[in-house]
Amino acid sequence: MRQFLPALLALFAFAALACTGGLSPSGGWAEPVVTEDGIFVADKNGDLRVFDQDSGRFLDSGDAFFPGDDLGVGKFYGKPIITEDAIFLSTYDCRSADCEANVIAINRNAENLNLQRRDSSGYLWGDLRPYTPPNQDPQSRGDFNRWFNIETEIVGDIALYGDTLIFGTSEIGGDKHPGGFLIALDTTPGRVDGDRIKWMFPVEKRIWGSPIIVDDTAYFTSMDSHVYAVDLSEGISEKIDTLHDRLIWSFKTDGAATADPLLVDGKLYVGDFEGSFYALDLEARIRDTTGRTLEPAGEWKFDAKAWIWAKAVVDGDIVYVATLDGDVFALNRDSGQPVWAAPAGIEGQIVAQPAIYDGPPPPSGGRPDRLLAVPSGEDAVWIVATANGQVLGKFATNSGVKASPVVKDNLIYVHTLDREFQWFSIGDRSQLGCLKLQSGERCG
Amino acid sequence: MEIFGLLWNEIIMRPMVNSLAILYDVLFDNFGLSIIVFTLLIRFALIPLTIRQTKQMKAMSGLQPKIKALQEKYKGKSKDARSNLSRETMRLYKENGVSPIGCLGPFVIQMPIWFGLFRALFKAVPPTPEGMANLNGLLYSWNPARSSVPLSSDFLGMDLVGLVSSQTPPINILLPVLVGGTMWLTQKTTMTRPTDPRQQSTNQIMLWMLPIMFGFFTFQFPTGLAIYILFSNIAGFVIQYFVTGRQNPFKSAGSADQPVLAAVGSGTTGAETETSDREGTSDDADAPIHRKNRRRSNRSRSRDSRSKSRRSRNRRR
Repeated sequence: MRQFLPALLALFAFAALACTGGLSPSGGWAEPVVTEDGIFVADKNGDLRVFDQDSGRFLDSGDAFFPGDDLGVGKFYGKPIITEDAIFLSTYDCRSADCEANVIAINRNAENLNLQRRDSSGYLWGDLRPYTPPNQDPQSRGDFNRWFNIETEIVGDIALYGDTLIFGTSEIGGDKHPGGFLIALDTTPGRVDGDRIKWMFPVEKRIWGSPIIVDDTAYFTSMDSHVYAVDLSEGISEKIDTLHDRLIWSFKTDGAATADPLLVDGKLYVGDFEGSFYALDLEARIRDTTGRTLEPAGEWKFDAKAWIWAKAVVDGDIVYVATLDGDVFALNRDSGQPVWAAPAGIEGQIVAQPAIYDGPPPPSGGRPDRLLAVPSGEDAVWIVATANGQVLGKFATNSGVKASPVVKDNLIYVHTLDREFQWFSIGDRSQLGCLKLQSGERCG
Repeated sequence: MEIFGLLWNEIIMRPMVNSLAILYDVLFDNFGLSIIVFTLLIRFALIPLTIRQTKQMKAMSGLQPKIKALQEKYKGKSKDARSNLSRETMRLYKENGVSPIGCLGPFVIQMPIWFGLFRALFKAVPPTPEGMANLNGLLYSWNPARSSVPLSSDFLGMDLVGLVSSQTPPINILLPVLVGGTMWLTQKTTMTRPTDPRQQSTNQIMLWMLPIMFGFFTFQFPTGLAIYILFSNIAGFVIQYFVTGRQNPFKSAGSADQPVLAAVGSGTTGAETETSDREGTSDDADAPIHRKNRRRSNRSRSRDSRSKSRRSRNRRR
């Protein structure tokens, strides 16, 4: 046995080191964004590609539109923001528990958009030193970048409020800024004094969901089991808002929350890790000073009995809720009573918002059925009838899907975890095309 | 392959993740305490295996002179002689209740538990969105800790998911030193000086090399894993002290015939035996296992002498 012991120990040590591989994020959760110029797809490894519907190819099929993979910017989870003048991206990556996130602003008016390299004019912002917490030496965070760099995670989407980017983060710099933050970042082109952060709103645990912005308020969830409403107005002075001057209200959920809230007709719909799904009335929330009880009128809670990560979908009087166990529920928006629940046949986790669309016109004429395209971690986007919850079939992606599908012109576009961009016919559900995000070439 | 993954998940991974999560819930939402208590529970649950392993190694040790004699007897002989050697050796093992893989068996049985635990640590406190989504499938629906998710990985100023090397000084130095130190202590406690000078030097190399090697590896381990190894070593030391023999680690090693129990730093009690043909006096004379082995050895001797006299009677006839 003695002679084997060193070998066994070495095996053990290497296996133990290998066992820590799951500490790095994988990405691939970014929803495609439809614009007039094409469909923007943020690949899990950092590349941004633009799909041209007319040719069925990526623009610049060789190099990516933004070669983030080559630049090592990290993984995409949130979808990009595309405006007339700029593209805003957020990425992050971790080595063990040390995470770095980047927020990148690309100048769409630059002459050479094909080469968004470190030294090109394609970036909107001037040289930026990585964000350094007040108690840390600025030199320790390295050189200037063309983008905003901060030691944290950005998992949810970024949102644009005027000339300010709003996004949620985990703790910053390990234990230097514990908890999580909603950060407001200045998007002014060129160089700015300071580090571009306008203000940071602290919460007790990480923010992995996306903020949604309506009027001057951002609504977001946190792992500290709260839904927050935060005032985005200018003129609230504190940079790190320890006094919570910006807080309009907060609501205590039963469990941790990462789902993006959905705001429709003055009601906020959101789920948590306890399986509770809430309809919060915004007016009632402002009146409620405790943040713990649901008002008797207009607000309700439904127990889905499984973690809810995906953003809900509203269609007419019904709100659709999907869980990580693969269940889908249709609830009455006024009462929270289930119209139908948990159709059989959906396999895999649902972490992304289902898409709702009109199915093919029935042969006998009349209105087409309203359908849900439910992305699942098990190799498919499932088709569910909104009328009764029946699973009608699937778009076979042959790879897990954790990004919301997009429906446009009777086609459904899907970004898979295998770094593929696939599109299907809504009519016969057949796959019409597939491109590799890494190379831009056709699949298979 | 799929069935193997399913079994691994259902038999090892899920019970471990759920145990860690329940302990977290019970132990004041403290994942560090959860790891420590879980490590101790595992180590104590494995005491019967540890004892069995030690017994096997000691019995094997007692047989070494006879095996050596058999090897000498059949050295360089024909194919028949080699098969006779094999048969005789197996007979010897059988007569003495020793399984040649008995010393390895418990070690192998424990391996999935250690590896499972390493994985379980990171599955219970997942740092990535993918890991967090998977945790939903790992936690039993009745587990009360579901409402405590996400479990906090902070413990005494350390992030248990972060690498040891990325912790603030002096923790990043202290932990590897403690891991190496406790491993050295456990080995030293169980190691004895063999008569063979060559084996003596091998022992010395093992005594120092393994702790240094593991201390070095610890820099790149996640802190939770280092905590697990540290407390597993401490538990191993205590178990060794009270169950399988008592020795002062700071005194020079005892008599030559004692087994060398090289504690594997990961928390194993991998047993290594020195060959010796002497029955020794030892500090552990009052340990029950050693008494039992001595009785077995005596029984074996009397069996041998009975069979010898039987053979000589047969020859006379």
